[in-house]
Amino acid sequence: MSVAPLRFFASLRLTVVLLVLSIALIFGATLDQVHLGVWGVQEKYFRSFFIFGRIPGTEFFFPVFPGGYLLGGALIANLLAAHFTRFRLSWKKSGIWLTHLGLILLLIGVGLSGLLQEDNQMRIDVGQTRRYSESFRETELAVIDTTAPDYNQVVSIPAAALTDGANFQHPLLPFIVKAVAYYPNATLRMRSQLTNPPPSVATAGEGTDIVATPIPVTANPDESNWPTGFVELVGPDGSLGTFIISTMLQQPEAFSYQGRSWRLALRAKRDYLPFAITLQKFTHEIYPGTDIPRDFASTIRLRSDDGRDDREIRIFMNNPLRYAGRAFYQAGFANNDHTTVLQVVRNPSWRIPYLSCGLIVLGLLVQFGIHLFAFFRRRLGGVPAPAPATS
Amino acid sequence: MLAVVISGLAACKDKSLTSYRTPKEPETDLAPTSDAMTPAAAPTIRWAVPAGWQPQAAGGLRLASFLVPGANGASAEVSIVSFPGSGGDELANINRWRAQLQLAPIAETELPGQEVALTTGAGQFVTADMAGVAADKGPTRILGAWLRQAERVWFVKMMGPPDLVGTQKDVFVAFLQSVRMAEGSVAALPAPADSSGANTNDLPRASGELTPPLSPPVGNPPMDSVAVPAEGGANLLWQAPADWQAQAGRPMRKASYATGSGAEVAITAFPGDVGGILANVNRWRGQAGLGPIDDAGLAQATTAVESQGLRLIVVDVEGGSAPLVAALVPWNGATWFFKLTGSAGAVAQAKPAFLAFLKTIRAP
Repeated sequence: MSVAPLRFFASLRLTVVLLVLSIALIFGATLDQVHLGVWGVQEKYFRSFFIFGRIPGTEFFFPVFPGGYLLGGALIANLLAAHFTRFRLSWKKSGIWLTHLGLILLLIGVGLSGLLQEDNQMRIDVGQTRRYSESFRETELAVIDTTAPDYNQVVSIPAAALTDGANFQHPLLPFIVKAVAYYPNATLRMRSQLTNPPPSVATAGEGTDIVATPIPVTANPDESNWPTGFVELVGPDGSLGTFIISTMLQQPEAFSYQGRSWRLALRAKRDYLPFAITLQKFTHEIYPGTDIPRDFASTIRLRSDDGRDDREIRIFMNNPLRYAGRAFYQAGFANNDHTTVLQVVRNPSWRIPYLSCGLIVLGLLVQFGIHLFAFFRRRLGGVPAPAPATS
Repeated sequence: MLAVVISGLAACKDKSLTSYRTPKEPETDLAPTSDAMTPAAAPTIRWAVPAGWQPQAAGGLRLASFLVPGANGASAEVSIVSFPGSGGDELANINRWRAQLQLAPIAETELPGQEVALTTGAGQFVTADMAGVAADKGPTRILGAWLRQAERVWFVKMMGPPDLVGTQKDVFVAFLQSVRMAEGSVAALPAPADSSGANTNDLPRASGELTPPLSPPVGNPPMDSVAVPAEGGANLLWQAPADWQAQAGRPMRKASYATGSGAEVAITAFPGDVGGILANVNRWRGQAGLGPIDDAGLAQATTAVESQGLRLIVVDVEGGSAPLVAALVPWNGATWFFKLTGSAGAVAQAKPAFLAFLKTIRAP
């Protein structure tokens, strides 16, 4: 790398500009949270390289502001370049080196968490056993072969891929799944309840009795989006029919094809676990005379599929269960304290923030220690301290 | 370059098909039953099916359907449908059914004559009864009802020939009365002695596991104490009047009832003395918009009721914005509160029964 670009990246002015842009980004994202919700804002502002704007009246998008990944990446480059140009490797500066290494690790950790972290939840009734967690935001179309007596074979199609006209083939599916329509949010009404219902998109299953109307996506945390769509299944002999799929439907669509039983369900994306969790007890204590929770805790039984673990665990506030690469936090409760809600976080890079904070603390201790040591050495050695500046 | 690689990785992660094998699951667990993407779980609804109603295939939005056979091959249909959200306002619901009967829509001012509230163990249904001509069925009558909950609305509708629907109206109302939400209050309901003449419906829970069958309520069986058991301690017992309906459980409540007059009785218990009698009386006065009283005023404002070895302090807060009759009794290290609230008329009407009810309270 030539000297001029390195000097540009090492510039302290660039650091200030990047920090100011970061503050502006956080400010703008906070304001936009009203429209997009907390997840939407994270995707648009922080987990992106650019924030795109649309030219009014057109479908042309252009970058208007640097996103979180770009600013974070530039801050890392800035810090590294500063080390190459200004800092010299010496024992006296070892604390600063360690602190900066910790900062760089922290920035990398944030980036990796954004890319790798999966946030799911588990809702378990007392006495119930669950072996999967469900995504907060992602939806999947599960095409399920239920023929075998002891297992279900699932092919999962991410709802994000269900754009109109998209075709999906999989070696385990004897038919092509063709997306006819997909609405991120819709209302469903029984056809019989409408005075002049539109013609049915579905040609088979329950969907022929249901009218789906797309509505705007909501970002209100107290409201839900109800993804809905229509898929056509096409086998070698022609179409099997067009089916409705919706997270609002409480029964999967069922059909038989070539002697096998199939189910279609649009649902929260599932992460099946190599173990089962049974909720044995849920306790919810509140401060007397109020609705404010003092403590809520789930007593669960965890049984791993390989038979190695079968134990009782208590999960409560600030005391998660860490198991099989996932952390289970006590997140909430529902259904008159009959149901516990656990947040399940899977983040392979979860140790990085701990490591980076440790490095920063160690670096600061070393740096201050060096200065303190030098101070005492001067005192004990009779070296006079520098005279205070006079004006 | 890095940007392209990261974006590419993210795109692949989002849009690729995956396959996996799972242990056999109940059919209902394949659909999005756990409401993972909703703010709160949808409660499970249960009911007692009247004799003669024939269950039909359900699916989609329809939780259940019944065929009600009548004379000469006539039949009516009952459907139970559930929607998330509020399900539209009263006027929209009434006018939607009116449109199905080719009746002209009504204005908001005409609404009061068209709907009747019905308090049940699951909450308050709004019911409507209308007759007209359905497009392909001739003269038709609709008995409709809806029940709103925080996140969901339930519609129950009977539609069929006017004569048949007329003879079934009492059965329909009894059916609505049998509806329960599978929450704390359900477990608390007493098991009636008799379940003849009807079979029991019990929808699968989210997990597909069946909850114990709920027998249909017969008449209004007296409700002995059905308080939710507290952890590590026994509960007081009581006998609720026959016309009080047990309400869905709430986290803080030991029990709730709706009185026949439309007032509400709430029973709670908290550890310790919860500030003492004066503080609680003043809290209630504050709720009614009245000023606090002192120890001297306390003796005049309260009366003591002896109930089977327990001494309850009863206060009747009158003259404020929200009438209230309440009683408290310290027992077993906790203070139990029994509170009657509602409109002035409803509280006044329910007050004698409430005072009689207080005398049924006893230690186990």
